[in-house]
Amino acid sequence: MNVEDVIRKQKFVRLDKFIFGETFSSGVFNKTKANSKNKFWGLTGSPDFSKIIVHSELLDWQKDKFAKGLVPFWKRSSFIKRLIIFALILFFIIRPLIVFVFGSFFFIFILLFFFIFAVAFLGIYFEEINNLKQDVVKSEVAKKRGWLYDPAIDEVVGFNLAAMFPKIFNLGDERFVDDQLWGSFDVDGVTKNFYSGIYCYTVINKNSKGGENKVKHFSNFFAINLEKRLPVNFLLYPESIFSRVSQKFNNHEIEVESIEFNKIFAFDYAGRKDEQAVEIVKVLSPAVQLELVDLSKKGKNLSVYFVDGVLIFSFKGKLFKKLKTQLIGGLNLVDDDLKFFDDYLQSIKTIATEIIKKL
Amino acid sequence: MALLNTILIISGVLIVAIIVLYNKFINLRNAVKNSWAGIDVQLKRRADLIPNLVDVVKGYATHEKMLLINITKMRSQMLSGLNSRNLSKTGSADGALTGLLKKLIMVAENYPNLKANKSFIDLQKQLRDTEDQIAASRRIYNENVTYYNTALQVFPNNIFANLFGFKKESVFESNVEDRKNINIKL
Repeated sequence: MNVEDVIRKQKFVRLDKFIFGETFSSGVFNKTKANSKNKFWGLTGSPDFSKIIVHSELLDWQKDKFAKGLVPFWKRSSFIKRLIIFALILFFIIRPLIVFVFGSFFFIFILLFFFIFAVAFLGIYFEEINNLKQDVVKSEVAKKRGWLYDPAIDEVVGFNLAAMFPKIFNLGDERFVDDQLWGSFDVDGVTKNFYSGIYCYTVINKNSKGGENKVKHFSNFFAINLEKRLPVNFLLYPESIFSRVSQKFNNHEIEVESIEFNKIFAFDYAGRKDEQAVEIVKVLSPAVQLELVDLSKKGKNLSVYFVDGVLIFSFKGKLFKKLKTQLIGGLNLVDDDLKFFDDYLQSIKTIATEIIKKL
Repeated sequence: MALLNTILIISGVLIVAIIVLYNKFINLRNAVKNSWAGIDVQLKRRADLIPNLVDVVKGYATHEKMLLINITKMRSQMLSGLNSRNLSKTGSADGALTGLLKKLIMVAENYPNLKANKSFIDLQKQLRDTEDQIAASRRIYNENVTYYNTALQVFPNNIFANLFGFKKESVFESNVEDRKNINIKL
């Protein structure tokens, strides 16, 4: 991951100086984190502070650049004038000319072309603004909660995750991790570390013409270090017709008390059912079942990997798509966005607490 | 011949549908029974903790005799409700017992020596955990009962449910009113 990659990631974004109403420096903040005694934990090891500081400083630099850069076109007074002039020229000069030469049907075609072009342009523009907003909001949340945040993508971590936890991360090709967060919270009076991020991978399919179709997939994951070894390693993944058949075939199906839980999740574990099922049911107490059912409703296709002393929760797709914080007119972190993050972490915290009690 | 074939096909489909439905009802009923077993285990676990708790409190809080008697009484009622699988009796006694135990923990605040007692602290923690598990087990049981009852009531399931004699199950409610109506002389 180099400087150019990070800049390329945001290349379409143009924001004005009104966007960041306050001085924002995640680089400085992360430098203080690196010097503090806080220890951060990740699934593939401790975070690389030198890299994170560079990435954070880049984010700051981008924002400074944008602040000094272009005013969004719709905010420019000249933009409206130009738009009116363009419309006048279109209707009074170009239209008669086109209608005279090609007929009125062709003019409608030209109008449609401009319309589609404008919609596509605005779509890309707002998507890029939204991407930057995601980074800025996450950075702010991390600052508020004392966590560490890396806005850049990391291919090495993506590769390592697939190698270390193949059951949940060994999917597709071209893997990388984006928006990594390192933090901690209290579980039953004891500090536990968590690590989160967006895992991205590409599925390549060959089409009938011999070419390749690439589809990018995302999954939002949260991992918590229980610091106590689980009696059994297993994966909970979304129940489907295939999982039902496969479980029946392998004699690996396990029924817990909750019907809803049994409908939502399938089990994947090594070893014999009669040996493992007792331990799995012990870990999945009624309170854990309920909390997992509730958590599964907060996102798409929840999978949970119980491995050694770690719990990994993974949702399909990006979770934090619709953030309420607005960048334009000064950055004020909306409480709902903060609550959004806290909500997920609260569920994970409750599950961890209940499991730790049984270990 | 064609009519016979049609009748055979329809009969075959009907028989398969009935078998599937019957198995579904059995599975759901077993799930309800299993989830009840979860409540049963947790309630009995709490009932097992109570004698130890009463013993510890007795040594310090000599003025709380009535409260301790009421707790013991409700524990017996709850166990008798559990043994006879009387949901309303169990729920009523469970509600009252929960209220009394909360009262006991509150009363313990007045006795610093009791509050500092290690056994009391341990029992308190175990009691709190058990209460959480009871609440979770109760929610699961009630959700399962709702699934089962809905499966029995929807059309055309209701026809076959009546035919096979499957009966609706009652949800388990801890009677909050009973908690309020308990008068304890302190």
